Amino acid sequence: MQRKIVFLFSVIALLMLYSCGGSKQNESEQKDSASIEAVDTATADSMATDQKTNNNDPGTSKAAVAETPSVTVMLFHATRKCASCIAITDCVNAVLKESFSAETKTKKVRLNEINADDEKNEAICEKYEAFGTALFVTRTFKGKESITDMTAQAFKLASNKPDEFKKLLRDQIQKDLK
Amino acid sequence: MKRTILSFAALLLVSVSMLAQNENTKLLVYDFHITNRCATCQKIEEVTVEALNTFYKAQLDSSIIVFKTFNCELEENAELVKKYSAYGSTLVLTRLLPEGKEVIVDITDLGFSKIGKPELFVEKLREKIDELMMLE
Repeated sequence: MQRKIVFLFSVIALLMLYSCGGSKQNESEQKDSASIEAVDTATADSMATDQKTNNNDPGTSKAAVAETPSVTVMLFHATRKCASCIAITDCVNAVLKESFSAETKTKKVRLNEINADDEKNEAICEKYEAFGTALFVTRTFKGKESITDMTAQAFKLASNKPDEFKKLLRDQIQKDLK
Repeated sequence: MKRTILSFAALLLVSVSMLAQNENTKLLVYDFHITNRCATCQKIEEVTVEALNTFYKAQLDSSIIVFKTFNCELEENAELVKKYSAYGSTLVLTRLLPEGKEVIVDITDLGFSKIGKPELFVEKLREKIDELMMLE
């Protein structure tokens, strides 16, 4: 009888141990899956943030992995555009319309207008060190970028020598597409 | 009244020291603008003058550095405008070297792209000036 009681207790103890271990395992499994979920969410969040942050960045666009070069005209401006800035914008739009209409349709040439005063554009402004009005021509080929700063030419010429400025911009884009 | 006169005299002195170019002059800081100046263009001039007065006061007073502004749309400035291709807002440094040699550094891009962070613009401006002043 005593043996039976000892055996019964042993079985109960074993069962309890197993059930505890099982629940611990479940707990840890749950924890693991929760942490995986958390990692996944974090990854998704970071991807979303990356997408959000680099939305204007030609380096992270689909064109970055294309087999032929693509060009993005990066036009940074303040919230309140001045006459020179408007003249630059007009020249850029005219060049894209007159000389790169087909390339614009296929997104081989793109225009990115960025408000440097908008907080959401902070990352791209930092990248280009553009904290005011600035103009860059960014060539992207096989994931590599080369950036040409055309701010000086833009301000010097766009208001009073628009044709000269347009020619410089056109030449730069054509060069970068090769 | 006395204070106003004194301020005016001080302003005049600063202007004169900025405008006078002589045989000691080593660096010209030229700021070109169009007739209808925008806020950014004015801010660039303001910050440039402030930086020169803060960091290069002695050189300004002795005309080693000379700062001048020009309206690029005026006929009287046509020759300079052509020399610097300054048909719009332009900020340019010219280091005057012996035998009439010149080194010209266009910093218009620095002005317009960095003026949103004036301290960064001043830092870059000083780098360029110091670099040019080192030239023999």
